[in-house]
Amino acid sequence: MRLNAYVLAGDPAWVEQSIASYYEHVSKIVVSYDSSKRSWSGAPLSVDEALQRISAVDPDGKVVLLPGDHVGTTGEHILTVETAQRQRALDAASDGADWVVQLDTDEIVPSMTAFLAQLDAAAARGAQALEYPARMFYARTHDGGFLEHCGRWWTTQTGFPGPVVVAAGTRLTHARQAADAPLYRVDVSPWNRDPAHARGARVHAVVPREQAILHLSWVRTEEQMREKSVVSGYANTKDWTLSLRRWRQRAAHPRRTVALTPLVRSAFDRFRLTRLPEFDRLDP
Amino acid sequence: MSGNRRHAVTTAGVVVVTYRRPEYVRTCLQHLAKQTFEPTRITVVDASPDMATREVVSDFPNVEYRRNELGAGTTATSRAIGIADADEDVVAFIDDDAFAEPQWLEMLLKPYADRDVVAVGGRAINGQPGEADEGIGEIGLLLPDGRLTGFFAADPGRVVEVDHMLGANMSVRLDAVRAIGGIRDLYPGTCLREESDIALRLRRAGGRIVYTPYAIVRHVGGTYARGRRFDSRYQYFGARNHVVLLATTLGWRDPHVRRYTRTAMRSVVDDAVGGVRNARKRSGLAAKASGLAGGTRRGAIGLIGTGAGFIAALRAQSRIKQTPRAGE
Repeated sequence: MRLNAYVLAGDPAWVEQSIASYYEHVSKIVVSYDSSKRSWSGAPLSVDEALQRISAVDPDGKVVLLPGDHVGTTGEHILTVETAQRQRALDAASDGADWVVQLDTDEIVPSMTAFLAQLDAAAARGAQALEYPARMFYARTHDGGFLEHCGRWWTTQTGFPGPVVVAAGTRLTHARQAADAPLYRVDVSPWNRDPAHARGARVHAVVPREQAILHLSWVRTEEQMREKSVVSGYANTKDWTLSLRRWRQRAAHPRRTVALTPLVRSAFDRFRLTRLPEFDRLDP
Repeated sequence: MSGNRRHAVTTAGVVVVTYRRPEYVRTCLQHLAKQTFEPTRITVVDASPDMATREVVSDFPNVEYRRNELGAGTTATSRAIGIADADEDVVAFIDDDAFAEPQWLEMLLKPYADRDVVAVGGRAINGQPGEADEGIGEIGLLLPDGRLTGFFAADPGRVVEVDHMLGANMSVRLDAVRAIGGIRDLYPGTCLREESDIALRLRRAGGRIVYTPYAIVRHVGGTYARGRRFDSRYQYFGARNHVVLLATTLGWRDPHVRRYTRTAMRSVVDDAVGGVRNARKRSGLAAKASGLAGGTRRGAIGLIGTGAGFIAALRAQSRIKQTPRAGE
């Protein structure tokens, strides 16, 4: 099975750890970025830092740079621009590959052995896209722990922003999602653990939660979070002032945040405390 | 037949199981007569109380007619009778209301070139819009929560691995079936899951099962021996027989059994909640009562069927230990 990958360069947080987690299993990593070093909405983006960090974890010269024009025009939806950038990167990565990994640079695969076993199973079943569970991490606490998104009674909750591996040549329809590609869906439980999916959504295979992708989405420095609030694909759909204030408060008072979890109405605002020893000494 | 030389499998028989559908049997046999790979023999196993099917079969000189005196609801027994003294490499099963394309058997046998393959299922076209694309990637799976997926009309464009097959269009390597003790009949009523019994036991024994979209039958869906598809009886036996399937093929300690129990209970709750929601949406007392009753009835049937399944599975295991299996 020939495996390539693509990443979008612009978010330096966790990029080394993310790429290192699958580096030895791919032949080529296409790195797509905007030539003017701006985001889809036109805001300045930390492309240089991201490229520098990516270069530092590329001892075998697998990285192929793919600059382009990825700033949206007036009135163009940000996710349309994102999808177009991803499609261009995916097309480039598809050359010489059977499958293309499309992980974001803040997503880390703890066990590539388990990940590839599920990809093998998906391929054998005739699927053309693999959805693999991600545990979503929200903030780091003062004692080095993490606030992790969870279920009402602190159970494991997963997120699926889209397939993380797709067959070469797949047509993306919305960001990472590929509506026409038959999916093989892995979760950490036989029953769906993603609040964004229907309760009865089919789970095709199960992996232990320790093997789920670590999505360190909001585990960032204050400065990185400020940049995220401007450049994110969701920049215009959130009250970022409120979101950042809550993020600071929750990180500062993790025990209170965790204790209140059963009382919280939104399935996306429930948290538990988690230790990830391998990240104790790492910064985003 | 040129096809016979190309395959590792050199002999194949075809078994047609039927109950009171003589005209369907006639059409089915007419299609089998046009196969590009000639079966060593074709056997019709008839559980009907009358002789109408026997008369139809007598019009086909190379087709063998056998009786299953147990009557309706014993499909697995009919299959076992069909393979009782077979000595072919592979036996293919086709329903009486499934009409094979000329290359059906040839295509069904191709994957057996791989010795690890112990069973091959084929595609059944039902004539539903979009069925060729629906469920690709999840054809014939035993899900982690204990449910089974179908999607046997899907066309993934290549041979794919599956956990089970559609009884209307499937084949097995005879030595593999004999090695697991033959075909057994634990699935009364609508006979739901009887074909999955063979597949899950073959899988448990380490065999590989594949689905080929190139072995095509047109499944026209004949009338049921009793009742209609998806009526209360169908739901009851679906729930009952599924528990029997999991418990007797995988064993009580297998996590699928425990998980399916939870899945079934979730389904009961969902049905009941659905009934309440339906009642809320409707206007008029009679309509509300009807909505509530529908959900409650579905939930109750699921619950009763699942409970009956546990009792039946315990009895079935006792029977399996005490009696020799059909087809041995």
